[in-house]
Amino acid sequence: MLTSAVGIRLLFAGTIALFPVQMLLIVEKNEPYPALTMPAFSGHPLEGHVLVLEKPEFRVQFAGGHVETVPYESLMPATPLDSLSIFKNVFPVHRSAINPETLAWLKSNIIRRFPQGEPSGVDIVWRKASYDVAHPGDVRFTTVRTVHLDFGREP
Amino acid sequence: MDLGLYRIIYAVATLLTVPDIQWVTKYPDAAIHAPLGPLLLISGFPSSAVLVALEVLRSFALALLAVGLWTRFVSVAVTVLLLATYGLTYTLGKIDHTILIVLAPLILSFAHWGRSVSIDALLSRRASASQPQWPLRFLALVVGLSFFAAAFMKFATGWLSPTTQAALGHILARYYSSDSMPWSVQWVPATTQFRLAWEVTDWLTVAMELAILFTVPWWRAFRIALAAAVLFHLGVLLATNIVFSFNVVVYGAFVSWAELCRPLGAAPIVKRAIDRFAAMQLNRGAALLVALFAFALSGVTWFVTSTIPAIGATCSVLIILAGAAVGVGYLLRQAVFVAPKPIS
Repeated sequence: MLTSAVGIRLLFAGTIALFPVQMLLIVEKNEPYPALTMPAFSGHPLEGHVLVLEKPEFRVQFAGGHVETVPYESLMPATPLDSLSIFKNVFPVHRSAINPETLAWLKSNIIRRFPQGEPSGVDIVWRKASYDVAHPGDVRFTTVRTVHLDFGREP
Repeated sequence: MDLGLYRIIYAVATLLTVPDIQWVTKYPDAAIHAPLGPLLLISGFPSSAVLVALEVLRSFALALLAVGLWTRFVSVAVTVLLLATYGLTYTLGKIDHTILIVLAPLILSFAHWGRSVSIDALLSRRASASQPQWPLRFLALVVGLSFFAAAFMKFATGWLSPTTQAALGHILARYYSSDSMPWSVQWVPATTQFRLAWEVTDWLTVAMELAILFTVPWWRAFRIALAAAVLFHLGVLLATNIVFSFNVVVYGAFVSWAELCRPLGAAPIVKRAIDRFAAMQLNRGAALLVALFAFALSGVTWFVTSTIPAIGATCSVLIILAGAAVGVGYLLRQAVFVAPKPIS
């Protein structure tokens, strides 16, 4: 069927006809997989001389009141993919959307990173970092939202 | 002959650079955020043993593809295994756009890429049938549509506005997101005042991505667009340290490998080896021995590349460099030998 002339024409025509449907899905919903697309790098992160990036961090509280602040990626397993995208999927900004299994997993990662202390809770601090690219080193952090997770209670 | 040689290049390059997928088991099942499509059926990560089995099977299929044994069936298997193994890592919600390297074997199996420079050719001893052209044109269409999608998204989100310098923004975003960027990309922040050059870069990027689709009907124009694309991938590597080698491997399907390898093939020792290979008589038992050899080879390659990830990373960079060299060579040839000469 596929190697007949009609089959080949149908294959080309079908692929071209379905492509707008795929684009509609990408624009209106989410990118499907598999899909005929390359990295889009949509948008333009630079506004004048200012570049704004999301730079979340964890503030881990231990029994006894000690607090450790670490970048988000330091409590995530190494991945060859973009870790911020994965972080944002694993830790939604709404507390109620964070799964108990995820909470237990995060606690075990903290214990592995800080074996000397018993973590009692953690704050996920959603921050934006504004870089002035005209003045390297000039960076301003703004906290957008803080989500507190308590390891002592069921979420 | 071109596609027979390309089949070997594709299989070896992919075998050396396919990623480890076992890292996904370090995430909880609750982290699964599958994209639209068949991955939505996945509710939990497979065990490490299953992931290792998938990796080994993938390597075995690629080794069989390299030697050209059971090529039609193995090409389909490679596509399915690449789709599944890449897909499992994308269930965490980040898609890495490897679709071209996944689809290439399936499409090229219809171009009979196993009928030359292969064990299948020795087994069948049939006169080589003419090679259908439509699979290559279809692969070109698939490459073109994929880039068109990226160009469309860039156009729709302001890349062509003269005030945005989107490429610079994305490069700087990557630069400032990482605490340890390699020395090769540290030149980027020093160029922020060259706004016009970066705006031209935005326009050239979108133009290159559109050109791939619009040149599909004309092979020479399409190859020129692909040569520009490999230089684009080299630029991305130098500016962001993103290694997009799998696309470069796919562009190789449109290279005249027989012509490129002719000087090598003319060497007496290589010529003798080719003649000896072509004269070999193989039966089904010998084919099974070849399969066993491929299995051993794939097992060793899987073990070495999984144990030393730097091998895959280095090979990916080398693929981009080699692709850029072939691209520059092709562009120079078009400029020097093919361009119309002025009348003297």
